[in-house]
Amino acid sequence: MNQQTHLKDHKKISLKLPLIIVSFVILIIIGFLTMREPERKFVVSVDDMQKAVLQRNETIKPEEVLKIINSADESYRFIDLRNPHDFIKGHIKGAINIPKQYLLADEYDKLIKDTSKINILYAKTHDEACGPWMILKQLGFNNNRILLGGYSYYSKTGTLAQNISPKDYLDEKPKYDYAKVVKSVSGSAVIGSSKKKKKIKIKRKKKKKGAEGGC
Amino acid sequence: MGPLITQDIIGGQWNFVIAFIIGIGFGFVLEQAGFSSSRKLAGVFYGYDFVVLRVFFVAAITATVGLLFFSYFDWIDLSLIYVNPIFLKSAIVGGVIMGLGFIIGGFCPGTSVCASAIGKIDAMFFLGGIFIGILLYGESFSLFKDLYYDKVPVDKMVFDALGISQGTFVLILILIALAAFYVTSLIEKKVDKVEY
Amino acid sequence: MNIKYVISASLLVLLGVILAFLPEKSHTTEIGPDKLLSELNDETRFVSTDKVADNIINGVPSVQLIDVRPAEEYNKFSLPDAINIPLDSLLLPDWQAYIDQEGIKTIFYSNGTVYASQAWMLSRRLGFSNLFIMKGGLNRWIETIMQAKEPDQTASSTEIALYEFRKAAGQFFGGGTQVAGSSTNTKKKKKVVKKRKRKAAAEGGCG
Repeated sequence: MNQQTHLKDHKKISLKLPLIIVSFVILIIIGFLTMREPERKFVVSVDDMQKAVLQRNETIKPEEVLKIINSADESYRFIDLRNPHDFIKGHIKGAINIPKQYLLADEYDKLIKDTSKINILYAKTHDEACGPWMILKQLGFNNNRILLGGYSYYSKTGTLAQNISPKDYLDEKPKYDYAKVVKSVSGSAVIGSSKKKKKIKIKRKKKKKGAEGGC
Repeated sequence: MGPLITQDIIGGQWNFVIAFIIGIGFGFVLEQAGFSSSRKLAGVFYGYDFVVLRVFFVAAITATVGLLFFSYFDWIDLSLIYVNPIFLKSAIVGGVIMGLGFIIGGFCPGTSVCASAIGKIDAMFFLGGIFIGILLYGESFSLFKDLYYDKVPVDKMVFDALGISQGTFVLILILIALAAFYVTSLIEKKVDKVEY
Repeated sequence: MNIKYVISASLLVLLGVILAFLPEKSHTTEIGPDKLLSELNDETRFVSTDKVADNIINGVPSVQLIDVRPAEEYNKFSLPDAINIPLDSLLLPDWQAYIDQEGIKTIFYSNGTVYASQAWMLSRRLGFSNLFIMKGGLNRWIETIMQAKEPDQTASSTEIALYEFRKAAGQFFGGGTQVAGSSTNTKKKKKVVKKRKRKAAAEGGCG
């Protein structure tokens, strides 16, 4: 190897060097240009959200909903979070269908941001409407209420047969005295320490085709 | 977004494929920079050739700047990047051994592989020595265990220890690098050229 | 000196200066609204009461139950080996280590589905993973496991098998033995909390 070829090598590299650095800088400029803040961010902290959840006051009872429907109160707006199929089959009069997966979609953006009316969110069950409510709440929208019991209880009370007790539509109300029920069920005599119990032969449920999921 | 494999954006089974491609690139760059020549490597110690220092320093600051910008653009999550735990004593001892090996043998581990690949016999011997050393060390590990795991409670990151921001530290690093490049070029001019 | 080196060096310095003055960016592991919403449509976060019963009976070690009801309700009745983390103390740092455990599936339950879902939402927003909800809560637990309804004669074999399972499980949990109702049973199981480690890349070397 002689020095000449070596010098040549170095020259080549020194030509490439600025090019490489310039392209590096361009890459970083591209990074700055394409960088954008996420459109939506939670504005309520987790701790505040926990407090809001514990207050449990942003709900509405089926009988109150009936009143609103009957009086055609303009300050409320019903939002049906079920899928369009269920919506077509039956929904609260005047409700707007926003399938819950499209809650944050652009087409409903205006509606969600319109806080002049109080939105009554409902789905099949209370629980299904709870998630969307929590998301909206954490995004800073305070004009949403959850229909307790969900659509199934509305449709029951909708026929004006109001024999429904809060026990039915309050999802979290214990329907039974658990300890009592459990005691009343005859336990097998073998039950002793928890170690032993595991030996009891239990006919295991046949596996369904993975419908269980998750766990 | 990144790191791609850790975040399962690219499947874990691609790990080796990507490592292979990057390895080829690394070897190519080492060879291009002339690192398969033990004289060039030894030049750092004698002052006639500082290319090794320049290449590694440029690589380091480019990668640092790139990673920090990428992290800022959310292209990579730096908390998912593995950073070696700090073992100060064993690092000093290991550094001394590595330096000695470097100047005696004329290669560092990576470049010895590179030089063996182009057929240098001394590099192959060096490589053989590495494996013998690894074997001996592995067999006598219990002797060195205490030193190996000896933890000195210090900050892992220099910028944490100095109490400055990561960005400021990088700026200082760049300035040090540039100063080093300038100083070494002066030294190179003063020291007689070595033909190799 | 070569002009190319000067340009390159000054560009690098420029980048370094930009880096030094970039505002600190807070990187949170929190999950944003869009991701959370898409996960709300994923029904696999729900676990049936049958599955939970099955897990308890077989003593599956990689699953833990978390009772999000208030302590007094928990003391009256709880599922075997459930840990009580009332919704109002869910976010206390001590509990977070329990909820976000490496390799352990966490199943929240309450009387119904709502509180458990709320616990799921809050924990999920914090980026905890492997979280599930027992669908229907204890109300459904009683209805399905403890008071299993016998299917019709014409019922399919899977329905009958399910019923048989529930009947047997009901006997397993029933009888008012230590399993049910006693709050002492939770202490039996020694919990080892494994802090969740984020996945890290393999060690690399240089040289």
